[in-house]
Amino acid sequence: MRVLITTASWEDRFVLGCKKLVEGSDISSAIVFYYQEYERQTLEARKTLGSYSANIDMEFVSLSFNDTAASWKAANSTLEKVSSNSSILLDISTMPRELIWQVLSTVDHFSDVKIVYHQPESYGEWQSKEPGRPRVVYHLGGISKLGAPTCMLISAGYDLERVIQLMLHYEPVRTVLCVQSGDAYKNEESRLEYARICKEMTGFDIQRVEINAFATDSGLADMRTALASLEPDSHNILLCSLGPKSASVALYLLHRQFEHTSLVYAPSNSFNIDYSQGLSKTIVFPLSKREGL
Amino acid sequence: MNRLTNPFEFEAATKLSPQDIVEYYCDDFNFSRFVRSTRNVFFEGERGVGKTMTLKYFSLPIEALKPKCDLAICCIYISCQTPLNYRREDELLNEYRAAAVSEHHFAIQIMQSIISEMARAENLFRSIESEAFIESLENWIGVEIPRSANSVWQNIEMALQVVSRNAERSINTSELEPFYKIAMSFANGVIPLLKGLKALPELAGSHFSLMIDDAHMLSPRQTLLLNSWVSYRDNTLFSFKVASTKSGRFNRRTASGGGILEGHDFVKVDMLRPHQNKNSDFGKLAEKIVSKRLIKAGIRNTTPLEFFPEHPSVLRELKTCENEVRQEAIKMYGEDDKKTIGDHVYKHTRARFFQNRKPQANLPVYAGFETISRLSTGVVRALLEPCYRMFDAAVSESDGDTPESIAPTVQDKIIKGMSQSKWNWIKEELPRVVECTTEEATQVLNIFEQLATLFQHRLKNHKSEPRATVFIITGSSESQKKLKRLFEISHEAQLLFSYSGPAKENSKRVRHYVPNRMLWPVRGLDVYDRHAKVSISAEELVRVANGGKITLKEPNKNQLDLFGEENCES
Repeated sequence: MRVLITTASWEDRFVLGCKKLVEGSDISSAIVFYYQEYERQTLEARKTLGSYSANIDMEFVSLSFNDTAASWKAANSTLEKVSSNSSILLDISTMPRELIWQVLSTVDHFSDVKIVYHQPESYGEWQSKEPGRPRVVYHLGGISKLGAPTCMLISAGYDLERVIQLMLHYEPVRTVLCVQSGDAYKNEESRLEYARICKEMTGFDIQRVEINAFATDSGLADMRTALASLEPDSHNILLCSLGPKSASVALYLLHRQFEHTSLVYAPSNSFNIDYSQGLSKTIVFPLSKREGL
Repeated sequence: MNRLTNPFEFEAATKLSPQDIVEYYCDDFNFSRFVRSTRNVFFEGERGVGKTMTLKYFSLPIEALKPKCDLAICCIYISCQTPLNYRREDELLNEYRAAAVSEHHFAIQIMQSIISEMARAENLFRSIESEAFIESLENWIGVEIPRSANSVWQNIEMALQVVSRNAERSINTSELEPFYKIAMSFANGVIPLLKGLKALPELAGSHFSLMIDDAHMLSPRQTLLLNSWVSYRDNTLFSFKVASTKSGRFNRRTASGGGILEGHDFVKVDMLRPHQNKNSDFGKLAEKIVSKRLIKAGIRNTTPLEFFPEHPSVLRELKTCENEVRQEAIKMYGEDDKKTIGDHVYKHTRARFFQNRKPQANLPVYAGFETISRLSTGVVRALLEPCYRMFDAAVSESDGDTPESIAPTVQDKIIKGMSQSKWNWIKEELPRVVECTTEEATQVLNIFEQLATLFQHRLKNHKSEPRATVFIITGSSESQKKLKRLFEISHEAQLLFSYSGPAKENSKRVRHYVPNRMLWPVRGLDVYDRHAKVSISAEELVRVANGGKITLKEPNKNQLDLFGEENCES
């Protein structure tokens, strides 16, 4: 039994990506999470999905960005029903990182878990704005080392102000910023910006490292090296993902390995209706092969 | 440049070594008498006003470094900026379980902080290695303490770590039964620990002052718990000193549904010192802070006023204005009324300096230690930041030599750059850094833009109080409610500060609002504001927030008080 777990979105890549998966694999059931706050925007996409997957047992689960506890419970009670013998296809393309981590923590002992990421053809001018208060994810706060200083490891994206907000909120004694290597999109520009804030944020001890979240291990090896530099045996470490979605999977695996780490979610209160356009290639990778643990 | 060589480094107090805290801290009796008291005290103030530094300075490990160590009041520093406090699983549980989980995390953290502070001051205690003491402590807290080769304090910390780890494992898996067997509370953990420590002869007569820092980081449930503990009122064994930001102002309810009352259960201390002439509390403190920093960096034989001199041309022009204003006052009041003449000169000299500037003239030069001190709006971190940047720029200009003073032109360049950055930050970054919508950020910007316009207009035209940049709000409570959220955002972003001050009538107190003075230099405003306050209606500010222009009244020669404002010397 193959189960698709995904999150409804108005982006082209949601419907096109699901269609591709449905046509290309023997999916027997699907769990489609959607958020009440964007219910209207995703209605058409959900209808379309239902229309071409008539043979699939489909469950639409309503969640809310404004009630994180109720959403966690709703997602949990749905995920608990999935048999551990199932093959899981977890589509992270349009799924909030907090939910990605909740799903991973439920299914990571399953024998067959594959992660799917649909790349869009292009992105809109901006993706999200109005960041909300960062929070540690339920049940993924790890084990605190009492009295130990707090450090942060941030997989950083293009929005450097969210990085600043995170650091101001948690006031870590040391921070490692993992920025994307390579020349794609705005990488060079954002690397320069990060170099600038490392210099300007006096009072903060910031180390910048380059990772490739699109490498075969989603940057896990590089992030593990970066984490080691924060001395995880004597510090509490907050792990936060703002960069490529695939890096959030690597951060989950790091959290599983190091018990004094907590996964932190930095929410946004507003998403661009033109977040992305089209569907480019689809990347599928098994969770276990990415671990490298 | 190497940050260690810059004497104005503004590290958070939590990152300073105990020795650095002793060397950098400037004792302010206004606060120390509250910290070293047996009462419950709530300290309020925005980031950077010195809350942590004050609490840290009186904490046990620092006390142990002082020549006259006094343990009558044993102050324990407890930070709420910890991953244990960030946990939110209580939100998933029913009321009873949620309360137990929240209290456990909070209590074990307080216990760990107490032990950690003891460990860092262990040279003070002589009889801790005795088996009788360890056994007695085990009995008090109901936790087995390992007998390893480590120090007793390390062994107790290890025992607490085991309890905490097992509790977290239980919570992480939602299997709460093991948790209930080991859960700690204030009553069964913290109080017994304090009582157990009193067995040490050095602490037999001590009162424990539990200093909870960054209390705005506590969860709503933990806030209720803390308030419940504050409401105990029996302060024989312990009291709380609670520091939090004003923007994260928390409620005063207790877990049992009651409340705690200011004056009855606790004393509230506002740490923002809004008036900053050189003789004010903050003015004196600022001078002490900068003097200490200069001495520590080996820059001796100079004062802050000499190290950050004013621009000579500004001093000359101010002198000319003073003579001009004095002659006018003599004409108006006669030569004999020295006090009125003095008041008039004080009120109008600086205003005249700004009024005499031609519309097409460049902005005036902003320099001098008092200017820097006032620009900080009473926030120590905001005092050190321009000093840090100025020192850095001066060293760069002098090829790495330690400067004897900072040239006024360098000071001016840094101040205007920081002032412009502050406006750019509101325009471009506010909704990304403070939790607010883009629309709210625009409304905040509109308010500050229009306040700047109002204050510019006053500076040029007002006959009585041209330099007022503090305001109070009047008008309907409905409009005030609409402003509340925008003011919260402004407070959190440190664009706006507030304090309770005297009203004009009935000896009542009203909230005074002080915009961050770093906004003013690029708007050509005087940062030496007077103690006067401008009265603005809430309706007017709501209109302004939504894009309206602020109402500017033309001066009326027959009336000194032109804008419906009160002028209050305090």
